[in-house]
Amino acid sequence: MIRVVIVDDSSLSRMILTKILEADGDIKVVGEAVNGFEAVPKIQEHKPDLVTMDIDMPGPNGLETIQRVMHSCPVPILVVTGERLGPESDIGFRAIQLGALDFMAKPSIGDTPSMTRLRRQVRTLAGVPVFLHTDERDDQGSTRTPPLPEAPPFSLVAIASGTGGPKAVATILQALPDDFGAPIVIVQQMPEKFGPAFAKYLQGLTPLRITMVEPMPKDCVPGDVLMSGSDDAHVYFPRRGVVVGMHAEPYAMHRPSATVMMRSIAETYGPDAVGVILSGSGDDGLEGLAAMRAAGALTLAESPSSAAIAELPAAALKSGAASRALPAQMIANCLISAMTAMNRKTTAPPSSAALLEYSQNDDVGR
Amino acid sequence: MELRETFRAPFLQMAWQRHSRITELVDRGEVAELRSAASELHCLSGEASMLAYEDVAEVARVAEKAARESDHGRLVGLVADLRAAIQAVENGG
Repeated sequence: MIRVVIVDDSSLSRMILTKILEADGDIKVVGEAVNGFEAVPKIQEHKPDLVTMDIDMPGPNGLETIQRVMHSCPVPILVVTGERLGPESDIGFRAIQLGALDFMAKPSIGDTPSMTRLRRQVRTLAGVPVFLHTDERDDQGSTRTPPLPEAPPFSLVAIASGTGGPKAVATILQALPDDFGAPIVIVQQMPEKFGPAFAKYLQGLTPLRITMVEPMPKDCVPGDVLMSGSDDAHVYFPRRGVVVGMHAEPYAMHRPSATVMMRSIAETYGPDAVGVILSGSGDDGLEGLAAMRAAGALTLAESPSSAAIAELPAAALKSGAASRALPAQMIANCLISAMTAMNRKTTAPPSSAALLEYSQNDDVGR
Repeated sequence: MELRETFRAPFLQMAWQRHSRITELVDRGEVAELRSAASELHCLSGEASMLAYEDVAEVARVAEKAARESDHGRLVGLVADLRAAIQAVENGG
């Protein structure tokens, strides 16, 4: 039985959420908090597998409450809010940055899929290992200077990210300098309507240029971070240095599919790319990452121990698609150090082999 | 829509309570009061939306925006519209 605490100032909302959550019999609402002040003691009392968190509440709002909870009694948090989530609102991503695992709009009883989605997401996130948020932990690893090995160049970084991944994406991009020498392309699994808000949120964290992949072919140059923009197109590299949003059938029920993107990168960049799989569930990206590794590229997975949702990176490691596991911050450090090595030596970009050597020298992600 | 019927009575009770508080706050008309009215409207909009009472949800959403913008003149009309929307739910609409 999955045990849930609801934090929401509306008694009616709490009643409706309880009814929806308990409909299938495998989820039980064990406690309710009517505001942010009550949340911490209720969580300490009931020790739930998951907390649903409203955002707009009197007193400490949902964002402040997430911070309090993650600093005192960390627990998986799913933001379930009546706030308008969409292209203009980055509130969900701010919640994730503070420690929530995911966010969604409050379900409507007139919309059966929205109720099913809520229960599915609760099952996915319940019991996911979460960690105490302290300043020490947040700073961990940020100043490491890794050894700088030699090797052939990489010209592109490809990232596949699923549920719980936005925080890791933010951590990586936040750490990269404005002169980072390779473009980065990201397939983030999320509802299409949140894509522009996610891009806007990321743009506030990085000096790199966040742009969306579009139906027209586009040059892919250093300084660019290209995001999957539409759920009716795959991110595809028809040739080196050019990316396009390609209209095609979903692959293994995903569009955009990280596997489609990574396969095209394996074909066009061969060993001159780095593939990364971050937090998520399911299997999107596994085949693509394996193709990149077979082509000689360095392939990394976020450490399952630090990923919000470990299923996808753990599968990447188990299947051998990823050669190495690192926490998100160390993935960024790894990319930076290889770039720095390249800049110091020649005009050649840093290498997959250099990154591999660095990652092997580091035992944080083991 | 069986669930909606289950929650119809508590929704109406809550909606009328909120409407009454909103009316008082709007009548007072100070900025702080309008901010409180916006919070009430936000809750009402969310509750109506969860129960698929779309007319109530939409009017409350527009009124919340007007309250946040301290647009008192517009808000007075919207509070009247909100009353009509809640009444329609009560009448089975």
